[in-house]
Amino acid sequence: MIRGLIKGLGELFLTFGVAVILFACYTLWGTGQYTRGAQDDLHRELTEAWAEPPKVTTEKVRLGDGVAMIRIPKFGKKYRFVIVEGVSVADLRRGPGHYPETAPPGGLGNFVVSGHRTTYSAPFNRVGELRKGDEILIDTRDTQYVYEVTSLKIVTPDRVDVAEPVPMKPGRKPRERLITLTTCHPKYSAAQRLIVFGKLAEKLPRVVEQRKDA
Amino acid sequence: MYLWIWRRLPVRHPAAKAAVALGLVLVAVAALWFWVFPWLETQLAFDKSTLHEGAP
Repeated sequence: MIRGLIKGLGELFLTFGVAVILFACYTLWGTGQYTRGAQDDLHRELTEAWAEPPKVTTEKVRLGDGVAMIRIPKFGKKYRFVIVEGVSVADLRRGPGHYPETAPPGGLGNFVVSGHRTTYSAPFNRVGELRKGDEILIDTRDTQYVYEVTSLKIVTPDRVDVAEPVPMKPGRKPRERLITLTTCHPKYSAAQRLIVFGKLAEKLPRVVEQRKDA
Repeated sequence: MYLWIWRRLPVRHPAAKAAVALGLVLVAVAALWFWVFPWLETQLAFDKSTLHEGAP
């Protein structure tokens, strides 16, 4: 009786262990596969849209659609992600997401982008390596915005004021064109947020072959 | 537990029995991969990157 119980418990623990290993594979590899597929689709849609003549419209970018492309030369030539509009769970599974209520790319105020650090292709996995002066390139239809990192900060997840038009100064009127990247901190934890601040340094016409992409 | 399931598989031939067992394992893995894990991942939220008022 007791032998049977121990055997049954052993099998249950073994099954649980296999499920945990499978879950680790899912989070670290499976989620990335999903994001890579979504990024391929977003990249194709965005490049097709940018190849067409611009439409005169007052419509905002729809949630979940590609809004711009982010490149960080420090992370190598292959580092490129399409930024989606929105920061819902579904949006961030497809790539880094732009907070819709914040400034557009290159706009006056704060262009705020959030991205996963360990799952879903981990677009912001290495943002902790950025240092003052490192470049963050944001490509839009006609323009490449070159931002320079100004500082990094670790905050609690309730510090929504980092996304203000002037970070951490609510109500202040913006005079600069800023960028803020947010991701989880430390890796594999949601206890804090790592924030990267930057400001616009240069504005270049976007060309198909990027002048600055490495 | 596994022996109990093995004995109750509705086929007698060992090769067919192994194929049915493999099919069951694949169904269980697919259920975990496509339904349970995506749900569990949102519940655990250990890679949450956004900012929220009132967040812990």
